[in-house]
Amino acid sequence: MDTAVIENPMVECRGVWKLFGGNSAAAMRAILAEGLGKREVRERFGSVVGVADASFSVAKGEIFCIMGLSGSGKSTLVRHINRLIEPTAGDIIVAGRCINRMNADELRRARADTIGMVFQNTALLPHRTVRDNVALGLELRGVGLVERQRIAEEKLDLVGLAGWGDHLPAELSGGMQQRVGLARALAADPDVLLMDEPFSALDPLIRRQLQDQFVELSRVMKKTTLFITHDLDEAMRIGHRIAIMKDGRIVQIGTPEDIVTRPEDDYVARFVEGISRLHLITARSVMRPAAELAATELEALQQCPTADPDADLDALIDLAVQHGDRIAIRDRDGSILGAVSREGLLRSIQGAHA
Amino acid sequence: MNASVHKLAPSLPDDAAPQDTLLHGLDDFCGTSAGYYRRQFAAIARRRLPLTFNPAAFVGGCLWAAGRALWSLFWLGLALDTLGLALIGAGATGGEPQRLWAGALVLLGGRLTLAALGDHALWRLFCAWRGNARLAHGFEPRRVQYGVALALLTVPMTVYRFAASEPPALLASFPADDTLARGAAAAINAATQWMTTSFAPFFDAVTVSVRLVLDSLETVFTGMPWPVATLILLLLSWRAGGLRFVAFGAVALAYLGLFGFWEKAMSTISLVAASVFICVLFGVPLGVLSAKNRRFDAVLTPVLDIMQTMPSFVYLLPAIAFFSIGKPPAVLATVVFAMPPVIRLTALGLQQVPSTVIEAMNAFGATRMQLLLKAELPLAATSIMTGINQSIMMSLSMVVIAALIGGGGLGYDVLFALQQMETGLGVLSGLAIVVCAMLLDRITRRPEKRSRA
Repeated sequence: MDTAVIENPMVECRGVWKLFGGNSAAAMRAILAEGLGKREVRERFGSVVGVADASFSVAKGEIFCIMGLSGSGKSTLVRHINRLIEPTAGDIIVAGRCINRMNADELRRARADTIGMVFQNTALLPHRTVRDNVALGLELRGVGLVERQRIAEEKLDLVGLAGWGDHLPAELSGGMQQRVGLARALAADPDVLLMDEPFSALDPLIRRQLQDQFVELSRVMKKTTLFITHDLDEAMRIGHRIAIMKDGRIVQIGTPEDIVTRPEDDYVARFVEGISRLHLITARSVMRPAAELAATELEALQQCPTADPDADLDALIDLAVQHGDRIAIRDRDGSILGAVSREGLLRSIQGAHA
Repeated sequence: MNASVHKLAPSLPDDAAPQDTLLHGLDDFCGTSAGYYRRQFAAIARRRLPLTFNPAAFVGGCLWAAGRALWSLFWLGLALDTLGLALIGAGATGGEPQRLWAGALVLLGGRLTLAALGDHALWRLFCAWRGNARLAHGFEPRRVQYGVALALLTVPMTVYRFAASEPPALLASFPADDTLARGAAAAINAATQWMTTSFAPFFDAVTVSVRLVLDSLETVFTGMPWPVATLILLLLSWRAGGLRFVAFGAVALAYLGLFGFWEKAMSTISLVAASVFICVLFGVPLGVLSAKNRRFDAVLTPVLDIMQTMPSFVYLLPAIAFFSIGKPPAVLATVVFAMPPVIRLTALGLQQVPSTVIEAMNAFGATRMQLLLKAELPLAATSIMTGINQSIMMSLSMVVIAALIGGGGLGYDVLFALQQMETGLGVLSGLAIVVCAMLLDRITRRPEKRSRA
């Protein structure tokens, strides 16, 4: 299922099962011994399968998206990482420690220090100011007032809400409230961020804006993130890798490019049908590297329009149409990494649709 | 059949195909007489039959309803039949022909009602049955037998009770056993006696602590010079509701002062304050427990029902036995009556805390105590304040009863007026209690939300 071998994963799930209701212990034994299907489990033991045999690992600093429709078990799965839900079987390892074997005190400390969470409905405390909401985790840990307010202010600044600390959550828009939720999760400086459909309830424009902000933020802060979404576009936009879930099972794990170009089964294939590949192939993979270019060509490139190495085909086409047939690909510091010609661009579009 | 139907229900023309989907499974449902019901139901579904007449229901009456598993109709029919027969019986034996006629009318009316309701009731059952095929349906002789058995148990005895010129005592009144009640009452007396002597130190301790609370409150309220008290009460009104409340407070306090109720009002307010203090002290923790623990809640709920519905005179007697006459037993009797709303509304407030907030608190590593103090109680605050407000109102309604065992204050004036048949004094002191209640109600409402720019 998961082909990538990750050394020292930050988060790892090994054969996680969750059955709800009925005689779940007996149902679990029967599943492992006889390999019962979903329907048989419900008929014989009255249990509903929430998560079935989920295994994956997430590298440090990675954004790992879990994508699925409602009822596919993605929210249930992610709640196992901080044990808001107890697994029926399987192990969950976060930062090298087995979450499901911790006692209540260790678990509380792990939740407070290691794992931050952002909720779809924000779940802010309505009677507290934005600043006190952000400082909540620190307050629960016993950090002093001055220190936690300083950190809260810092995190509010980070999510672009400086100066809003004294307001109540109800006075903020939905997008701002969600950023308060993110600041709250970041305040304890956790190693792992769990994001449960954080942007799903927002309108498309704000959602896009927050997605970009989040990608930027996570690039800087290098948090390991498990990001749940029901929106494949969102998963493609922000995930380094994506796990696609259906009926409690992970059907495929891979990079956005993997998922689009090599769907594991019909379900995934139907999902990615509508996804434009133009956004998944980047300038880096279609440019001629600077090393292969002659000095005169490099000279000529100085006058050409420029693009980021991470710019996708779509952006390159725009540039080519508006400004001419050669595009210089420059690093953040401005040095030229390579060039994309009109011919190369057309060829790669052809390849993208093949 | 006619054009108007087509206009009203174009999707349901009169041919057989849509009827089949509409009345799908009708044969299974009806068992017998499916043809009749096919016509009736088709008409009812098109709203073409406001009034129906079911001959089987008219003839069979409640037994038809039993056979069709329409049990509400069965009981209605049985009651009307019994009433009719009892009237006829009484008329026949008592020689009063108008009763005979009335009985016959009731019988006929009952059958007509059943005949008119029968098809509609069965249509409803049919609709429910299509969603849940396990519902009783068809016409079952077994159910008719049950109906006959129930009718035999009720009708003959009732008719006999009214028809017989001298009904036997066994039918007219429940055979009571006097010794049972007397024995139980004596046992309760003995238990009270025993508790009074055995737990005397405990009751004394309670009396002393209640008196301590009450005395300190009373010293504050009655000892305070009236201008100071007025100022404080008006400031509290202003905080709760601005100038409008201040105006009301000024009128209320002027009434209490000018009509000479000031001292007694302060005494009553301190009694109320003491009992509400005790209510909150015990009520909020009990409410938290009952919200968190289902079993505790199951035990507490009937206790609270008893506390609220048991006539207070009943527990005044043991209160006197345990705590003797005076203000402490008056406070405790008030507490019994006024504590349930604090408990109930605290529990309700905690149950209404969104589960997402609780989940978030847990996700950030909150202990149970932190969850309670930092999220649950603050979010339940509005509900708890409503409970306290209710508790105050109920305490004030107990003031007169408390005066019976030495509570004093405004209640004493009402009681005095009652004994001396002084209507004027009664109305004035009653109004003083009302004024106190309204004043305290306004003060303890949640202050209006802080407005923000």
